[in-house]
This record gives sequence, C-alpha cells and structure tokens, in this order.
Amino acid sequence: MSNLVWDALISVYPFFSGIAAGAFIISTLPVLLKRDEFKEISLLSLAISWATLLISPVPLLLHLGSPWRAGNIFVFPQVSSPMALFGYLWAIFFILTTISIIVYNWFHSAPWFNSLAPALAAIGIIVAILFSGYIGFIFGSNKAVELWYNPMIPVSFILSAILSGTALVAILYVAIWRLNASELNRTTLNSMGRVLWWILLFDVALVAAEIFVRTYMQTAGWQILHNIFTEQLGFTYFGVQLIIGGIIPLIVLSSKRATSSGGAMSLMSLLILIGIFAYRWNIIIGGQLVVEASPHIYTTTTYIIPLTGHGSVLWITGIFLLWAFLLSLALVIFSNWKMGAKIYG
Amino acid sequence: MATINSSFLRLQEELPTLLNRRIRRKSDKPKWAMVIDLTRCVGCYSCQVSCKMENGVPYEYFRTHVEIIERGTYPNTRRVFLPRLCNHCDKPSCVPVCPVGATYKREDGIVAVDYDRCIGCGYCIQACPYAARYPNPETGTVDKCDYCLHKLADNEVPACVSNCMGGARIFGDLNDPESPVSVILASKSVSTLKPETGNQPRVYYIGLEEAVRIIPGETIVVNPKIGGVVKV
Repeated sequence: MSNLVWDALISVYPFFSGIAAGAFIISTLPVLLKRDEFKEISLLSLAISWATLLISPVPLLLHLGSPWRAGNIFVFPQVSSPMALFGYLWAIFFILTTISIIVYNWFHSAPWFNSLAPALAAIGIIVAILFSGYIGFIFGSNKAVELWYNPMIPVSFILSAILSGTALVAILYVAIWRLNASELNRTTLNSMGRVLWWILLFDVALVAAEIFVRTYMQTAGWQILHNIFTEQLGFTYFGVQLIIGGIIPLIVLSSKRATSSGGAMSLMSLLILIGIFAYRWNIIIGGQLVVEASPHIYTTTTYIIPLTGHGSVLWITGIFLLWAFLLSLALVIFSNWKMGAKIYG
Repeated sequence: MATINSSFLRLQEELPTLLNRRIRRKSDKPKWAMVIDLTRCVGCYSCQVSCKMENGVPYEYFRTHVEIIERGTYPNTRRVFLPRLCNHCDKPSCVPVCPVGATYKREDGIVAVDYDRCIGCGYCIQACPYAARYPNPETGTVDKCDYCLHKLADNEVPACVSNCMGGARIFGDLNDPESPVSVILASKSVSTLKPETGNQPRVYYIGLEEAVRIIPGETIVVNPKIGGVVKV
C-alpha cells in the first residue's frame, strides 16, 4: 500500500480525461469554427475521445477504498463537491460523444444531420471544457495542499487537455494514414502544429509564472516545495515536463517545416504527451510529498511506484493496454474515421 | 452511619463525573468541544493507545496522536507534547468536498462519517488541513475521531479524555455554561490550530503559542505520527 493517499492511479485519470476532452474539442473545430482543415481528422478525434472517455474512470474505480459503492456518487451526490459532479459530467459527456460518433458514422446522410451536428458540437465543447476544468478545480481549491492551492490550475488543466488531445490525434493521424498508405494533408498537419504551439506557449508561460511568483513569495510551504522540485521531482519536473515536453516542442514546432512533416509532428506530439503525463504526475504526486510534521513545520516524504500490487507499474501498464485495445475497437466499430472530409462536405 | 452511607452513595454516583469520566448533560442541544491543556500533558500516549483500543484503529494509523516537539540546542532544550485529533471544525473543509455526503456535521458539533456510504475516495483526507483523517485499509473507508460517539451515547466522555492521566484533555458542552469546557473558555486564554484556514476549529489549546512558536534558526525535532524523526 502506498504512503500517499492519491497514488499513481490518480495521475493516470486526469491524463485520460484531458485527452478525451482535448480530442473532442479538436473534433468540433470544423463545425463550430468552420476550420475546414480539421475535417480530415475530426472523426478520428471523436473516436479517440470516445475510447479514452470509456477507459478514464477505470483508474479511479481501482483506486477507491470501496469500489463497489462507486454508484453512491449517482445515488447520493453532494452538490457542493466537485468530485460529485464527476459522475454526471462523465455520463453526459459519454452520452454526447456516443451520440455524436453514431450520428457521424451512420446518419450523416439524414436530413436532420446538418442541424443536429452543430448542436452536439456546441453542447459537447462546453461539457468537455467543464470535464477537464473540474479536475483542475479539485486540486486548485484545496487549501490543505500547498502545491495545489492555486486558482490557475483549472485553466492549466483545460489547456493541457487540449494539448494532450491534439497531440494524440496528431500521432494517430500520422501513424494510421501511413499504415494505410494514404497521403497526409499538410494543411491539417500545419494547423494542428499551430494549435499545439500556441497552447504550449500559454502552458509553459503559466508554469513559468507560477515558479516566478512562488519563488518571489518565499512562503514556508514553497521553501520545502522548492526542495522537492529540485531534488525528488527534479527530473520529471524540469527534465520531462518543462524541457522535453515543453521547451523542445515549442522550439521545433515554431518551424513550419516541422509542422508539415509527419515524422516531426509525431515525435513532438509524443514528447508533448510525455510532458503532460509528467505534469499530472508532478502535480498529484508532488503535492503530497510535502508533509506537515507539526503545525507550520514541513517535511517531505518519498514515493516510489511499486512494480506489482495496488497502483503499481503492472496495473498502470494493464490500464494502458486496455486503452490501446479500446482505441483499436473504436476505430473498427466507427470505421468512417477516414471519411471525415467527405462527411463534413 | 446513615449519613456516611448516603455520602458514600452520593460519592459513588458523582465520582465518575468528578474523575472526568461522565458527561454533565444540562442543555437539550449540546455542542461538544475539547480543551487540551498543554501545560498538563506529560506525553504518556495514554490518549493515543486508549483511542486505538476503544475504536479498533488499525496498525500504523491513528485517530489521535501525540506529537513530540523538541526545541533548542543542548543544554538549552525543552520538549513539548502536542496531542492532535480531528478539530470538529464549525466550517470543516472535509464536509463539502465529500462526493457522497458520507462526512457530515452533526447538530452537536461533531464531524462524523457514515461508514455505509463512504466510497473511500480520500478527497476529505486531502482537504483536511489538520491531517486528521486516514484511509482505513480494513474497511475501505475513511476514518477519523468522532469523540467516541458510542461512549457519548452512554453519557461517557471519549476514551482519550477518561484515560488522560494528567487531566490535560477536558471535554464538555459549549452550550452549558457550567461545563468544564465552558468554564475554561470563559476564564483562560485558549487558541486553536491554524485559525488562518478559516475552518473555525473546535479543539482549543492552552499553551499552544509556546508549543508551536517558531524561532528562526532554532533546531526543532518533531516525532511525526508514523515513526521517524524530522529535523527542521
């Protein structure tokens, strides 16, 4: 059993929910913003969102002390709790995504399609933003944990959700199209590259602002957090989250040559995804590494993810394999994902 | 002889109250609170041990614990004992975050857990600024001090209070002006832990400032609740 209340399983959850929300937001761009270049990947994004949404509650359920009572969230929801919203938001989002993907795959010739599609997209984008934002709110509103207590975390979670969703869509777009020997649409790739670059810029700016403000304030909690970020989380924070997942993609994607290249886009998107996972890890695990030994006397604890057992590497690998299976299944069931440009007309 | 007998009977009846074992129930709507007099705590751990025995608290977990804080450098050193438990806040941050309403504030001021409803998500543990909750691995729920509700139902004080050999833990009804807690609050200087959280904690301490005061550059050694020693 881990010494942390919220272990590695909890960092997997916002990673999945971010991808699901981000991919959905990307899928709505042709309908809501009339960005035609996204038509090609719109249905692929929707399938990714659907499969990722389906897997997202699994790490949460596995983490609960009494998973057999998980239904209590629906039966006895307490409206003051952002976590209680989860059940409803997830359910609404899943129903919307399922309806959208069914409509786009099998009813795109129906007379009501053109009026229903924008409505589904408009409601869906609001739910997607709420779905990724509320997770940030759970952390950002927690005054008991120094690292989490930050009103900008919900914003950062929404940005990183769009970032991770777009990144995974870009990776799978390049991989699947190449496997099928189809030609990649350079305009689509370029536009995705631009979305990634701008959001990454805001994300890195937010992190930099947080570091600057906290370092300047020098609160008692920050002094110990500083030790955590420079020692225990030095590699995952500065190395993976900031440099590998932030600054390198930011530099590379500033070049149009890179955003037009399938290989460069895939590689940078992979780095961004790794960086986002590190971000979830650093926030969730990092926040709990500061322990108050006595009132206003802080110390640190350590966390090493176990190889087997509850919340272990084995469990998380299993969840990721299940996710890969669901993604493949989604692409088989909703097989119109290559027809995006045609369906959107 | 008859006088002696009646005095003995009265003493037998009142002794538990005099020994701080039974509760004076004077008000219809009690509001329970605790005062911990740090000047009387000897760090014997009776409260910690008796709580674990009374409530079947699992190994390595505590509903209440005693922090030992050593301050200063030899030969100018001193030791402070700081008993900790759920503060049964008036504005508890653990209550609104519970997704299923399993944690709730009772009318008598006690923050309790409905163990049949709790899903064990741990959100309340993260939200508590006093680190007063723990995940009970035996039940799959979150657990915490509830002032020994089962003993209160029998008009008995919590186990930690009745077993405190120094009489450092005092329990009573804030709505009864004659209860030991009310008397102390009216006559002595008390303070609470982390008032800046806005949680309005209802465990009061006598001599707290001296215990938690941080003098820059001073060596402080804290014995946290689960093993180990922390040097600050």
